[in-house]
Amino acid sequence: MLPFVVSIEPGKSPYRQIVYAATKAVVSGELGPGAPFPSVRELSQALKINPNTAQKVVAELVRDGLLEVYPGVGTVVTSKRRASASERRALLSSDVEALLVDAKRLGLTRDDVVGAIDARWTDLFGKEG
Amino acid sequence: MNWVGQVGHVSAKDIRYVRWPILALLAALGMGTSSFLTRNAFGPLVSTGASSTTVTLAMSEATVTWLPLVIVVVGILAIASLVQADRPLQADSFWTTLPLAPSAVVVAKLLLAIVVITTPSLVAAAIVLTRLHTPSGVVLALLMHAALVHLLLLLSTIIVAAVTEDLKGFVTGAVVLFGCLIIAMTGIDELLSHGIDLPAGIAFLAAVAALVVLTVLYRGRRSGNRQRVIGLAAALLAIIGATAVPRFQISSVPMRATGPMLSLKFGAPGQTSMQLPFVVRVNDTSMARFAFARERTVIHGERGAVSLTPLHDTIVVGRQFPDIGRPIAWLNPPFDYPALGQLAISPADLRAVEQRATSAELSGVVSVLRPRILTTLPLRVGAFAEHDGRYVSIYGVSHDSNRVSVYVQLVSPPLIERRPPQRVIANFSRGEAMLLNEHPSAGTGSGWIVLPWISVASSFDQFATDTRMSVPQDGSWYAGASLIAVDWIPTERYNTSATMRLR
Amino acid sequence: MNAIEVSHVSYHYGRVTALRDVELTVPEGALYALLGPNGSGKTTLLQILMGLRRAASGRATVLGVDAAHFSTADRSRIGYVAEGQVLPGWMRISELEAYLAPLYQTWDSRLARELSDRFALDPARRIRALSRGERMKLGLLCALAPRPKALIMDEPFTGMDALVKDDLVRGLLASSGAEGCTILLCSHDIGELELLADWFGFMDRGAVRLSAPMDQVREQFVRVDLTLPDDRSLGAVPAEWMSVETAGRRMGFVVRAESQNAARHMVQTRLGETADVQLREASLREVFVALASHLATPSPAEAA
Repeated sequence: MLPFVVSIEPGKSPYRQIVYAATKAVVSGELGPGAPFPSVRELSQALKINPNTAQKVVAELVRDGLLEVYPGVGTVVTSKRRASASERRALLSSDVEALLVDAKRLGLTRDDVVGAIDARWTDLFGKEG
Repeated sequence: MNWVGQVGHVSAKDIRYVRWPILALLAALGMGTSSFLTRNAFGPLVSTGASSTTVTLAMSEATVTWLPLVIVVVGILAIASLVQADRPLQADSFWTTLPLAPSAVVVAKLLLAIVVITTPSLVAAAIVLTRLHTPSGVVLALLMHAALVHLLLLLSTIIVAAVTEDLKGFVTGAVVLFGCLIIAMTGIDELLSHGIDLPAGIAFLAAVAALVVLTVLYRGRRSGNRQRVIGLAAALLAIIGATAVPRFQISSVPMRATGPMLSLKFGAPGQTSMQLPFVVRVNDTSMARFAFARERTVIHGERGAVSLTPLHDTIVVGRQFPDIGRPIAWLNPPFDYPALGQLAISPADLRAVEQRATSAELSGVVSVLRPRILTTLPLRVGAFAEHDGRYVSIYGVSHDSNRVSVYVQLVSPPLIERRPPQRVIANFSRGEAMLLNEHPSAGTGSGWIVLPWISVASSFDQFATDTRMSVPQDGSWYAGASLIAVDWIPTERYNTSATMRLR
Repeated sequence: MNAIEVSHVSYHYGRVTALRDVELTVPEGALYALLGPNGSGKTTLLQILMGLRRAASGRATVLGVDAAHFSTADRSRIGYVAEGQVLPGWMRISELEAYLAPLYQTWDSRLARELSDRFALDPARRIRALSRGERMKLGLLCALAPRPKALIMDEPFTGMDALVKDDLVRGLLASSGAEGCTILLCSHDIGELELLADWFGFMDRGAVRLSAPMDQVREQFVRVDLTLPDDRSLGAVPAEWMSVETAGRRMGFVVRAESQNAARHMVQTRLGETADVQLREASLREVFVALASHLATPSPAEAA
């Protein structure tokens, strides 16, 4: 059982999918600062992936500054920094791209898209900003 | 784990795997041995019915026939299932990918065959033979022969098991092998009937070939029809080799340069021109008898010499009454029948003989036989003794005013240089003895001692006094009498030839 | 350093050629998935690597040793699990472990116990009473406990239900990978291997058609979905487009290219800038199907 949600779909590199899911979990606060992160072994076992792949995932997350490795203790979510707004925005970039491509295919304009987003936001979250 | 360790490791597992068949084998051996040791195996078999008791003059078939077969079959099945547990020729066979040397596996199976199957059988046979006081040279010869035959058979079993899939396949392979064997044996019998013996070297060649084929099979790890054919051929050779294993019993009778001469006198022709009797006498007055084993007969005539087809007979001439170690008066009438031989002429040689033959020359080997007492038993039913490899037992005694009869059983493994002994009834305090005639046997039988290649023969015989003899009338004579069995043992041999005139 | 090397290996069953000029290398520490349809020669190749068959020509080495000449020391470093392996049915599981352990200097009883628990194998049970899945688990346990440097597995997941496959994969992951054990396993089904393997090989009709790191396979095999513009007709389908499917003006296929961008460029060159093209990494299953049904003539393995 992993402390964050990930489901690996065919068609995309599993490594990138896991990095993406872990990054999202950390940035959104699902995985709080200082929370323990699964070891390479646990990651490999839980997702039934090659340990080398799991190793690459952890290495990438460490490189991005999301995780810290303490020898003897294990891997934990970094408590040092909070992701900046632009970094968080960047996480959505592929979703945004998918949305825009679909909109274009349906023949919608930019205003249509923005209006649709506004309406849906209000439905889900009310008038908060 | 080093090689020796591997052999031990595989052997230990194998023993665990076949422990029940092994126990069954040991139980069968125990049963067989104790049956011999208690003499139940020898017979006669007494079965008590509701109204009568039946006595069958035979050895116990269960012990001398069935048990040895069971012992061999159980041993074969145990080895076969053992070999198939680590089948060498199945490409994904479990053990072929383990760090085990194929040679270690083969040796472990062979070791088990030798130590756990053959050796206990030989020990059991040795116990029985020793109980009969068989001479140690004979025991050794019999055991060596049996060991080699048994091991060749087990080698053959291992090969057939190695090239077949399971026990069912093994049995099929064994049946096929048996069929080929029958075909091969008819061919071999042809040779044997022409006097050609299978050389003993075939046995050793077969053993070496079997071991080589086994090694190649285990190392090649291939399975296929080619391997099966090669395996069956090697197995067949091993079994044929088993029939050629030499007996190892060596005659220890020394050969001399000369000995007492034989004289031959031609008699009148008999019913047909084929029966041409002649009398044999020996120029000797000692206690010995002389057994003339004829090898060559040459007819000399005006036209030259013709060698007759060999007739390997033996004519015994010489002293009739044995020396039983002390002065004794023989109650038998004087013996006046000379030793007779037949100059038998086959149709092929008849023409040559009729061409005015003048003399016949017989040549061969004479064995000098001297008497030696085998056993002395009190003259009563149930008396028995075991000596010099034989079991002698009295199963009947009867006497009336005209005649005395003794019924004696003799059981013996194959012993060269031993013919059936003479029987004498003697009363030593009276200083009188009677030499008995042998009558047609009441029952002969043969069987095996533990293994089917150590045979044992039994005969139940009646010995009686000559009807012209006057026998002692008072019972006290018989109460104090003994039955003596006397062997005539060859002590030396010499080549000889003798000539007789035909006209 | 390559843990497994196969060079110009051929093998025949009578007149049937099972392997023709096979080339394969497995780097040390890799988990190599060799896929191929039934009858493509995978089992024969693995048997040659285990020294169970002798190649008619060529050379196969494992851990630097020629497979035809393994010593017992070599065999103690190589594990083997095969579908349908004949384990001694008369033994109990504990007896089998007791029999095997002394044959290996590196037998790890703690690992054996851990796997035994994980696989729920009761040591007192007789092997003949085990189901197929349990037998495969036991086979894997016996192959892993000696901590081999190389592990060769022939169709370990075939015919196993999902629970057993799950156990096998977790058992495999629990004891290998991190210690530099090289694993070569073959299968005719992708299943678990998509995420497990870091090298991928494809065999078909006795030859290796593809052998590459998994990342590279993912990058290079692209699934293309496009809509043909009205005014363009395609003409002949290019030979490199595999598993081509069409429905109306929609068309999908798998193609091998240096990268997704290169693939996009290639498609747009043929069909024009206006073609509506969607690209993604092909799944391993799609790669498998594409290679299997591709009608190219047999060729030596593509360079990794």
